[in-house]
Parts: sequence; structure tokens; C-alpha cells
Amino acid sequence: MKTNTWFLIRELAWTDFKLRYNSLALGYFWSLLHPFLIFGVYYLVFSVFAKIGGVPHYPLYLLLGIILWNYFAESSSNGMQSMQFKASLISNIYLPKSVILIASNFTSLLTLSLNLGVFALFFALSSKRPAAAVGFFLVFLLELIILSFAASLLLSSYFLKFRDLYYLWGVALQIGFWLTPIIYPVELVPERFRWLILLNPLARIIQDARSAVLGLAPPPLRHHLVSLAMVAAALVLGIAVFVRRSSRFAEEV
Amino acid sequence: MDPIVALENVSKRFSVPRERIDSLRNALLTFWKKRTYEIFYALNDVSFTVNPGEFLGIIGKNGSGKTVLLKTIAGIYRPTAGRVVVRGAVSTFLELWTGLQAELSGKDNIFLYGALLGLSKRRIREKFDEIVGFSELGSFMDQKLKHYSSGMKARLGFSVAIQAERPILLVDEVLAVGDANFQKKCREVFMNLKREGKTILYVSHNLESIAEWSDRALLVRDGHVAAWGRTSDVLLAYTHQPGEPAAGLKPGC
Repeated sequence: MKTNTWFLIRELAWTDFKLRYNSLALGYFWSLLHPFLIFGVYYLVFSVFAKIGGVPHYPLYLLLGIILWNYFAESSSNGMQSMQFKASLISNIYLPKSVILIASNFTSLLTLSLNLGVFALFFALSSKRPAAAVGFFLVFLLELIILSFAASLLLSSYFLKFRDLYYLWGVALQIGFWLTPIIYPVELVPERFRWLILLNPLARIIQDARSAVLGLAPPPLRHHLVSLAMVAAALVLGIAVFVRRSSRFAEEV
Repeated sequence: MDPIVALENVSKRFSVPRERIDSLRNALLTFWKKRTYEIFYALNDVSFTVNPGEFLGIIGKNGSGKTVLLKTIAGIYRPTAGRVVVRGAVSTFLELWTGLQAELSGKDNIFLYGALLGLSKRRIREKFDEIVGFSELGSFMDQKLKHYSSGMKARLGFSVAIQAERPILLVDEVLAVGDANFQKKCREVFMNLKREGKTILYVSHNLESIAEWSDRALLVRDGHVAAWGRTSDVLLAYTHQPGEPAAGLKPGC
């Protein structure tokens, strides 16, 4: 049975990925285009119009931040609704609910991989290529993936019962986007508020991931341990809540 | 011999709140009010056993709880009270087009559905020709499922479902589709499965097939077990229920 679970997750993730972009006119191309359009607009406004200064490799900085944030937003939102999307499955076939959630995150990971691939291309083509610490980057990426998974676990546990979670999460993401230093560097935040911003594990993860890739000075490691602890706690909580609530999904859907 | 399926005093209660609280907003605004619920017992103190290799025919009026019973045995619903013991993997034939995706081809759907039913990728590949042959949909394999008729979809689903090698099968009145030729194939499949020693729980309104195949039968009425035992006795109890038409003989699986 173990071998089938893995196959099932892959199959669900892949078919969802195909379906998502199948019906759109531009197909797979859209999955690449979307963050880059966003990047284009922000770059235009904040770099050209409003001139945020003092950020080395600003285009790469901005693009990577958007891609990473996008992954968190998309995987948590889709993860939240994954049970609803697969309602007919849950009602008629016995499936471990975690399979559906993991497959949903996997689909989002596929999009992320494509986006990172294009980013790597931009990176390789950029004129003054910084020295990237790929190893560290991958570690921070893994943290991001785990945090997104934890968020999906928590959100999907209650979404079927409280449907307006969808809107609440949407608003939270909107606010979060601006409170996280994605467009602006964290240095722009006045010293006394900086710790508050960095309380957000996403802020730290994205910031450190960017430092790793762009060869910037990394912050002391012990600061990062705080966000690591938060991610671990979120994961444990998420799993506990999900396990408790998942047996009721078939009735609530 | 230990029974392969055993239900001990199983009850399944659905509580539908009188006021629809499906959003956090509503929950917060009304948390001090006493919640009243519409309590509905789909299953009430159900007890019976099924022996390995037995074919149990399950009959009852619409709404008597037959489908909830199957879903509870499959693990899709958790019982509110009592114990469900199942000693083996279960395959459910509840809605044969569950999980099939309209925008994917017949071939893709075979792999997806097979994965959902617990088959490994290798096994699906091995049995692919057999599946397509049985469904008689060879020329439609590359077409999207949305172009299939409901009969074709059910045939595809059934052709994949019979490959699932789980020892216990739960079948809910879904086989009354397809032409006479396909019906005949259905009958042969069930005869074979029975011969192979599979345990089959079979819900049907077709009393002829119940009489023909069942080793024992179960009559469900308003969530209770109204009769259980020798098929002829149970059928008698059913046809002589007040308000029940006498032995409706419908052609079909």
C-alpha cells in the first residue's frame, strides 16, 4: 500500500496541475507569466517611479521575494480548499485526507519549480552575478515549504466548517504581503519596529533566502532559530489539529 | 471462522443545526445562543456480521440508510456509537465516475481512477489493455471524458474498479447502466469475483439479482436491521412491508 500512496499523490498533483492550466488560453505559459507580470509592475512603480534605493540587485531581489511569497499564498489558499475541490472523492472513496492535502501542496510546488527555473535563468543572465550560497537557499526553501504545509493543515481543518475563512485568509495575505519586506528592504523599516516585522517567520525566511542567493551578509544564525522554532511549532500544531478534524471532512463537505 | 466485517451496535447520527452556522462571523455573533439541532439517526443500533467470501445482499427503501451503512463500513463516515470491525482492505463502488475528470482523456482517467483505488502504476500499465477491452471504449481513449455519455463513464469506472484486488467489495446500486451486452459482462464479473472468494456487500433494488447471488441478505428499514439471514426470508420481509410494491423485477446487474 505504501508504494501506491506515493503514486496516488503524484497522480493527483500532476492531473491537478494539468487541469489548472489546460483550460487557460496560454496554458503552461501562464504559470510562468503570472509572477513576472506582477514583478514587472512592482519594479516599474518602486524602482523606476518611486526609487527604492540601496538594494543591490533590486530586480532579482524583488523577483525572488515575489516568487517565494506567491508560493506561500497559493499553496495555503489551495490547500485550504483542497477538500472542497475533491468533495466527490472524499464522499465516495476512503482516502487518507492527508493525501489530498499533500497532493495540493505538490501541485503548487510544481508551479514554484517552474518559477524558480525562470528565476535561475534571469540570475544566470544578469550582468553582475553575485555568488550564491545554494545550499543555504535550499534549506530556507524547505522551511518555507514546511511552513506553507502547516498553514494548509490548519486552514483546511476548519475551512469546511467556516467557509468565510476563505475571505479572512485572503485579507490576511493581502496585509501580510505589505508587512513582509518583499518590495522594500527590511532596512527601510525604522529600527524600533524592525523586530516586529521579523517576528513574522515568512519575513525572516524570505529575507534569508534572498541573502543566500544574492550573496548578501547573512544575519546571525541565532535570529533564524526563532523562525525555525515557529515553523516547527506550526507544523506540530497543524498535524495535531488536522488529524483530529479530518475524520469529519466527509460529512462537512 | 472470524467474520471479515462486523458491526456491533453501530449508530450514525447526523446533527444538522437549525440555524446555519457556516461562517466564523455567524459563529461569533451567535455564540451565546443555545444551539438547537435537528438530530437524524441514519443508522440506529445496527449489528450484523459478514463471513469471508460471503455475498451479502442489502435491500431497503430509498432513504433507509443503505448508502450510509456502506460508507460507514468503508471508513468514509465514523460511527457515532458502536464498533465497526473490518478485517481487510475495502473497495467501494459507490459512484463509478467519482474522481474522473471531465477535462482529461479516458486514458488519463484510467490511471487516476486506478491510483485512487489503490492500484500501483505498474499494475495499471499491465492491465491497461484488459481494462480498455472490457469497457469497449478503445476508440475513445484519447477523447476527453466530457464527451462520454454517462453510460460510458460508468463502464470506464467499472472496468477499472474490478481490477482493484481488495478482498472486500462494497457495491451500491450503480450497475444498472449500459446495454444488455454490458449487463451480461457485469454478471460474469460478479460470478468470478464470488468464485475468487471475495467478500461482497451488494446494495440493490433489483430483487432478482439479490435472490440469485446472495448467500445471505439484510433488510434495512429507517436505519434499523429489519431482517437478516436467509435470502428468501429477507426478501419476503421486504416485499410484505406496508406500502412496498411486490417484487419489482428490473433487468440489470
